[in-house]
Amino acid sequence: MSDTPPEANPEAPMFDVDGEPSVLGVSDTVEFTRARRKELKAQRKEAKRLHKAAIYENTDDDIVFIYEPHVRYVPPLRPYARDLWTRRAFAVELARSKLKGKRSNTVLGGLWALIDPLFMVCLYYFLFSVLRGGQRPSEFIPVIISGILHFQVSAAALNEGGNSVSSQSGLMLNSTFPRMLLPISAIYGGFLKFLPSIPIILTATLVLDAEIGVNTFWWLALFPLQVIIGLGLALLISTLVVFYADMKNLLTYISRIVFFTSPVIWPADLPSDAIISVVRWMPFFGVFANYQAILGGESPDMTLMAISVGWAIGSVILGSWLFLRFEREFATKL
Amino acid sequence: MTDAPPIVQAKPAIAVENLSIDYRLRLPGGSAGSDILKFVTGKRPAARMVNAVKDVSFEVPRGETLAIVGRNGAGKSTLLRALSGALAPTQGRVTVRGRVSLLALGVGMNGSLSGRENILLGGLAVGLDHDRLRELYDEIADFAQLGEYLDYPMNTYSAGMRSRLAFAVAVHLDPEILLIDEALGGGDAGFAEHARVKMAELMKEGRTIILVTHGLTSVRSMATQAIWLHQGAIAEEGDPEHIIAAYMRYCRLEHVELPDEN
Repeated sequence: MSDTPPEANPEAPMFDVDGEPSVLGVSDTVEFTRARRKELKAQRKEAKRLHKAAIYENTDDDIVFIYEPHVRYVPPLRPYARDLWTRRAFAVELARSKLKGKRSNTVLGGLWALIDPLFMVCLYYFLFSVLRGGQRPSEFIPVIISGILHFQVSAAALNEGGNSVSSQSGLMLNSTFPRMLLPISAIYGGFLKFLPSIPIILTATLVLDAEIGVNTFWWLALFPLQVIIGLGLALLISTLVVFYADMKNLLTYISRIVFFTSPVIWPADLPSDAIISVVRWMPFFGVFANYQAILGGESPDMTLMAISVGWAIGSVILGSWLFLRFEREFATKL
Repeated sequence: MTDAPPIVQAKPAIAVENLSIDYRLRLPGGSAGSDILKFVTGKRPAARMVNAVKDVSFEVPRGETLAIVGRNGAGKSTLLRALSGALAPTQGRVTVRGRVSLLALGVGMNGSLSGRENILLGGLAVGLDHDRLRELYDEIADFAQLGEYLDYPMNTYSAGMRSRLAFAVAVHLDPEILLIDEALGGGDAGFAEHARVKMAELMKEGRTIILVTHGLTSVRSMATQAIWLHQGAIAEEGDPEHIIAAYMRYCRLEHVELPDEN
């Protein structure tokens, strides 16, 4: 097969002698050499230069879209943010319909929203009772319940958020919305899954005499922190998953590591100081330790709070930077 | 359209300049043992790439219908995706003036959701708001003629029903530029006629249409210009009759008489 288009003449050989078709319309593959990589890099650089020149060229009030080689730069943030905001309904609807889709063929349907968290609570309660040697760990029950149910949001961020881009290749190839809507939608989906758990947590804390007081209001700061850290990690991981499919395999372990190293199903003061001094740096450690603190009627630990704020700011900045820089290449990689 | 300044009128709806698109390809892995061995010895196969679109340039004036023909894998769908902005070019530039709607069968539709939800999601993805979608919804439902099936999950639809819905959605999103990827043939005879009438209407309204199809009769009846794409490059471009003749000659089908669509 040659690279040059065939002449439109009757002699152009279409079939081999034995009658087998000799060509598809597709060109042959070529090796992706180091030289080619270098060449691409140079092209990208040139494109970036031209792009900067082109941005100010457009003054038509007509709707004009210009698509150029994927320049690795962060797009102007203000228009991007505006675009995100005007399309927020899409993220909301995508999350809602995904949840619905998952339950669409089940007998119990929407009831799963309640059954899922209750099952999890029972399972871990059983596990914890076994570990405690049959003693009834009653004072710890609200903590387990709150921990496990809150962790749904983090789990959604890591799993659904991490795969949010790679799982939507169809949508991405056919429409041009700002891609950040996908991880955002995954987080919102986690929030929707968490909503029915709120009454369960409230009931448990009321029935089981957890402390409710001024410190309870810290939840209003802790929960947003958890969501923001989740978003940052989702942005980071979803970009990596697009470029390295290996990351998808790693993700199952990452979410388990995060689960077991955060005080979700164990009291934050259980491990030795040496262990704490390491695991306290995990992304969700601070948030979950402080959920436990406010359930016990204490005020949150401010050092852990600071670490959580650091994670929130750091992961969102790094995650958005990486995501925005590469988002225009996503469609070619999927 | 009439009160637009003449300078805007003169600009083409779509301008493609020296567009090239490459895909990286990876061969699927072998067994665990052989892959580990390759990884350790550093003898991993080099990544490969394919130039799906090669240095393609053309313009489509406002209101024209361009047909793109070519064999499987020639780069037609890739080209359309670049026009819709979903795929970034590797080289070159695409300038599109006007809102674009891409119609490729079934892609981007979620089988576990109902037709109704897919309409909503598709509309929101292209940036319409809820109010506008509510207005459009009835029109789409009327056009698709799917009756109560609109409320059933799409994986209960036949291929033809899916294509009806996809077509109905794409043409009702009020696009100034409509990109159609091999999506006219899905419906039954009744719907085909229904779709043909709608297409004629859109053409009359001065929408720009780009049509990727293997149906040479629809190229003849609809297109005002045509491109034949071969191995990612333009093999020939020009008047539809000329392109049809050249393409059929290349495919050794010159003796076949195309049926007249009407």
